[in-house]
Amino acid sequence: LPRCEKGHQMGFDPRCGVCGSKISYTLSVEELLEIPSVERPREEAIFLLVDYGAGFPLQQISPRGVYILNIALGDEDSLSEGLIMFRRLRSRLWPEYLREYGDRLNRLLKIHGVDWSSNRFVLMGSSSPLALLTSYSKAIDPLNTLLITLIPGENVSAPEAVNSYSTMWIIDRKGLSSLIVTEGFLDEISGYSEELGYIEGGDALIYIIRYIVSSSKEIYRSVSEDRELGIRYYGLAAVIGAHSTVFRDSSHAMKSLVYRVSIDIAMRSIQSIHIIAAAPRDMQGYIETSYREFIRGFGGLLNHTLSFVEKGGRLGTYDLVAIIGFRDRPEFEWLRKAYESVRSRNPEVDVSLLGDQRV
Amino acid sequence: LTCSAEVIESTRIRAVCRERKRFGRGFEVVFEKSLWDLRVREGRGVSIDDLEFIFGSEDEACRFVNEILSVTYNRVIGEIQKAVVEYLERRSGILGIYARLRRSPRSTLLLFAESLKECQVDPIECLLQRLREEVKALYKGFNEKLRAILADVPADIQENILSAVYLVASLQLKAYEEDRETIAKIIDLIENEHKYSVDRVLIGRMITQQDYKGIDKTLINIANEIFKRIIIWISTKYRCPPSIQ
Repeated sequence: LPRCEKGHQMGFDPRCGVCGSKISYTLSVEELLEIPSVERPREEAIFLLVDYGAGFPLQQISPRGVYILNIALGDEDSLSEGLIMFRRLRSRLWPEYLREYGDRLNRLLKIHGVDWSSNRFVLMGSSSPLALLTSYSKAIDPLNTLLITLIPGENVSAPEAVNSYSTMWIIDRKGLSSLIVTEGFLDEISGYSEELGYIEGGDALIYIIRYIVSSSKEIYRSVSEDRELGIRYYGLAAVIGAHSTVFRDSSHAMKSLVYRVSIDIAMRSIQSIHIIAAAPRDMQGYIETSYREFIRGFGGLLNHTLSFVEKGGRLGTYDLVAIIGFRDRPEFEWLRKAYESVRSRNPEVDVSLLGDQRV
Repeated sequence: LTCSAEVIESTRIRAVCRERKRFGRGFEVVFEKSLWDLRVREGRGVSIDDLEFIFGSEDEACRFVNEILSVTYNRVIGEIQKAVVEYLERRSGILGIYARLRRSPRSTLLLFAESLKECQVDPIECLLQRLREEVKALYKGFNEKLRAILADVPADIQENILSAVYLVASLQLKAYEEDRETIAKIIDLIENEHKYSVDRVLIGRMITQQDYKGIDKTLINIANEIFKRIIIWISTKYRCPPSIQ
């Protein structure tokens, strides 16, 4: 901004607002040093896909204002909009990856604007070494991140089990909130969508996640409230393509959710339920009534919410997605056994030795 | 007394007057004046400081005035014009990155990912800091040149020249910043102070189209036109027709 003859900073006006004198160009020319700040962009949500496979149908979960960043392993390093790719290393265990790529990942996540949104989702296969690097990264703030962590089944290889166990350990230590999805759940999940037809497995998971991302504000409010209540772990459940010919009413469909959770949990340990209902607008009142009835049947819930998403369709089908919060840290015995066995021979994989300053 | 005068160095004139005496040595007086002390021209007379040079005609007096102007103000303005064009062109490279950072921060940061290796804070701030340093270094060289060129120029004319420099350079920054409100105010000032009418619609269109090359070219034209007007403004003080190259 220019300065007046008395040295006051003023606008590009004929007279100074303070003393009424004219602009002094001799003084003002010094102000040419200025470059104004740039406002940080604000994005609706950021979705990180950590080593989740190249065939992932990104566009299906990309509502407007959501930035999708793929963090992957490949034959060479590569960086572009929507992609951070690290060259695959000889080892499959996380320590070598952390040494080689840990700092770079921190920096690149910031360059990709991972903090330009307070709603961050991370979908990661926990058996990848990149899952540990991502959850360990300074750029991943526990207060603004919801992880969706895929847990491998019992026939997983030892290096993958080590990565997966270590990632879960970091999640717990760092206080991150995580939705846990087991491999078994992925094998079982299926449904009918008017737009896509019969869907199952990974496609069905993406179909569900799309609702979570497009209701990001509501989900984040619920997850933040849960954090304050000490709830950080969640299971996922869904009924895709519910119809009155299958469920007598939608409260029955809701009741069925607790038998379809993505991780084995005891009913009594359920502490919160957040339901996203996607249905034609004229069903909203009916679903809200069913929800109240469903919740009445639950004892000991600390928090519960219902979000309604309008969805078109001619057949009157509706979708229900539930995020079910539970009390205890989940344990996966087969991962722990594999981890302990490798650690006894290779102390480098001892995740508890990782420095606290970044955790 | 018989007097003769010659221009010594580029901006100094020496007048030597001798007493005409048939016998004896007589006396000689030497006056040295800076051509920057050109005061007025009245009829056939041209005053430099307290010396008045009388010419055979008004035309001759004006030719002398124009010769003086060509080595003083017009030369200075020519040099400033060159410096401003170079400054605007070099600054446009930096402001181009700034504009891109504002428009699409992610792709810009990715472009500079390698050089942001050491960045410990917000990468947008790191890149801005780098741009600020480049702007500072560029300005430092430009400002030194400007001060050196303007060293002998009287304050009122200096202020007028710096007004052109400042307003055009500010217009450049605001155009890259797409700050249309301030752009309108700067154009008001240019029009009021230099009596030069700026094509607002053209500038507005180029901003919308992000035609930064076009903006730079237009700004250089504006600067050149303003400087031409300053040359005319100076020569009207001496009521001589300007000799603009």
